[in-house]
Amino acid sequence: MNKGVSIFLELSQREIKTRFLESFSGAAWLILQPLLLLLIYSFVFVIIFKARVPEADTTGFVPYLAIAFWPWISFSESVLRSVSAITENTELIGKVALPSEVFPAATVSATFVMHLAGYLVVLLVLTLTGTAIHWLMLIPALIVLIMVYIFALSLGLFLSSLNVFVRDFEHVMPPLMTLWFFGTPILYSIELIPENLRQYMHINPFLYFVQTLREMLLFGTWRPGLDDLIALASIIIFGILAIRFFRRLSPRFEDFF
Amino acid sequence: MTALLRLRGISKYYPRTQHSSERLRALRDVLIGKQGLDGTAVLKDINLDISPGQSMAVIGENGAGKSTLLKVLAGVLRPSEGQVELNGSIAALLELGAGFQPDFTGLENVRMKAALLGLPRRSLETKLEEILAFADIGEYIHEPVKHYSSGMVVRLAFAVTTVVNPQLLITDEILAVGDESFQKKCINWIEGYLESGGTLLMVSHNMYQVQKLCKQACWIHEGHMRMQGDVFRVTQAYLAWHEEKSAHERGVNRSAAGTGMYQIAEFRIRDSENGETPEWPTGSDIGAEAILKSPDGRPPVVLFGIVRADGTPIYGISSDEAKISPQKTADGRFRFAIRFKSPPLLPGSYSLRAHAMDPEGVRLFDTSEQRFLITGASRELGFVRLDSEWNEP
Repeated sequence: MNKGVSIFLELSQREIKTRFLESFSGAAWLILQPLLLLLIYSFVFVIIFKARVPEADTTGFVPYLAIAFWPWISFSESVLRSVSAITENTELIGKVALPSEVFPAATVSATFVMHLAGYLVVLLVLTLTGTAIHWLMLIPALIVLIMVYIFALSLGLFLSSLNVFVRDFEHVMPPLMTLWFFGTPILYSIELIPENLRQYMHINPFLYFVQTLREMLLFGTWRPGLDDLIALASIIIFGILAIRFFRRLSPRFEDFF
Repeated sequence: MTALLRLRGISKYYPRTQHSSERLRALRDVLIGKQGLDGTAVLKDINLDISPGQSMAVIGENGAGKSTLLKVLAGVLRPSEGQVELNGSIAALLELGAGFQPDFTGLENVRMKAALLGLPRRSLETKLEEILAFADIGEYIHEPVKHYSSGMVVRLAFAVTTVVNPQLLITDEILAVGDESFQKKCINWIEGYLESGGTLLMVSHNMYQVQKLCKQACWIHEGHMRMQGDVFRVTQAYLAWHEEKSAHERGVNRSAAGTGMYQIAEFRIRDSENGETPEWPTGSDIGAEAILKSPDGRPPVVLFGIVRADGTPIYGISSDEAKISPQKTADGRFRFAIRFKSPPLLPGSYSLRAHAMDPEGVRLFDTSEQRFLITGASRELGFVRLDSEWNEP
């Protein structure tokens, strides 16, 4: 087995263990924390603001939010964590010959594995509480989730390598991710955006993920189309660019620690 | 025989990264593919070949660039210039505890270490017992590493290395830690590894260890390859250089009274005509002659002495004491010649000194010094070989 692969597996296991399993009832927190967030958002938007999402009239707001919320949490958490994946491991990178891609890859992978487990639990809970989840769409939905994963990994590769040279990314990224969250129709529907602004929403690559996942799991209206192909191709190209960018910078990491 | 590892023209520069503008410029250079050839030079034009079965020590002062060289060899650091060619498997222990995480148990850390050293997961299962036996830390293996003593971490980390069995093993100062018995165990293991055809490259400041484990050595000085070859030759030259340096710092080298009346006009030792430092094997005769100037025409006294490179006197004898009358070569010039017959000096760097004294042999007026090297392969300690006999039962 390739040396890089076994280091990657060890690192991912370690990450899962320290972050999710080591703290008391860490695994429970994994589900509880997004559930609590979901509860807060539902409370604020449904009860206080009485927000009405036209699309969600039939399904209810909570399932509408939950379907998009988990993929976002996995994405934003893994991107934010991978920013410092290289700079946190300078000790090891400076002492052992290894492909440094393994660090952002392990961070993103561990986060995704754990949150996807949470996602499945949520889908199950939604089904049990009476929401009609389109389980038949699970396979295409998994492909979309893998695309989210590749997107997160690519961003992680860009940011973690840039952060070696310019440490500011660690501080810039959290507010940017919050901005991104509110700029994506996760809490709301794109139909609430004024018509003349709506076209600009499509620059946001995360829009595709959110809408497609809802179409698949919640409405069951998704049919494969050209836009899916374009999205897939763009994600793959972005991923290749990210790897090339990272490999260009990684031989010089040592100089900047 | 093809080299296991071949370095050609290796240089390493560290870019200036103090200010963020410098970091940004460096980032741009990396992105457009420009090699950073400015900044601080740590290694300059290093060439090195390691053949299978060789054991090579890298020696040098602190900050000479040894660890950087090892990082380049281990593939951790890419050199700014030059080529590294590796034809085989390599295990580098630049730091034994690298990859150990204090919150995890010893066993979990062993798994990580094995992955870092390139041991496949499957073969780890079969070799685990071997590792635990070598580390010999008992039930502690199930405890978090933060409860370990530093020696125990080292034992465990080295134990993992012993089962990896690479073609080339690179170690940096690792045997300096751990207690006596564990060090011995490590050295035994390395000796066995070398006997079974392994190749070793190590950095150490312990010259005894270097001479015991390595056949070859290279001396890195201020980023340059200063000397490379037989371990005894290189370590002796290195130690001699150190002794001279410390002697220089103490100012011993300065002659006591250079402008005195009685002066040394000429001082020569055997084989040193062309200004080179002569080298003789242990037991060679050492001859020297000195011509002294005497302003009042009276024959002066000369004192010849052999000192260690750091100025420690070993033996001295004056013409006065030996009741020698010099040969008058010209008006006011007197020639003395001496020959030390096969002195039992151990390999190392020495100096022969001549002192000009007044005819009464009381006051010292002038000093001259010539350096020479005694070569040989010997692990005896000290300066001279004393005749000894072992009593065997």
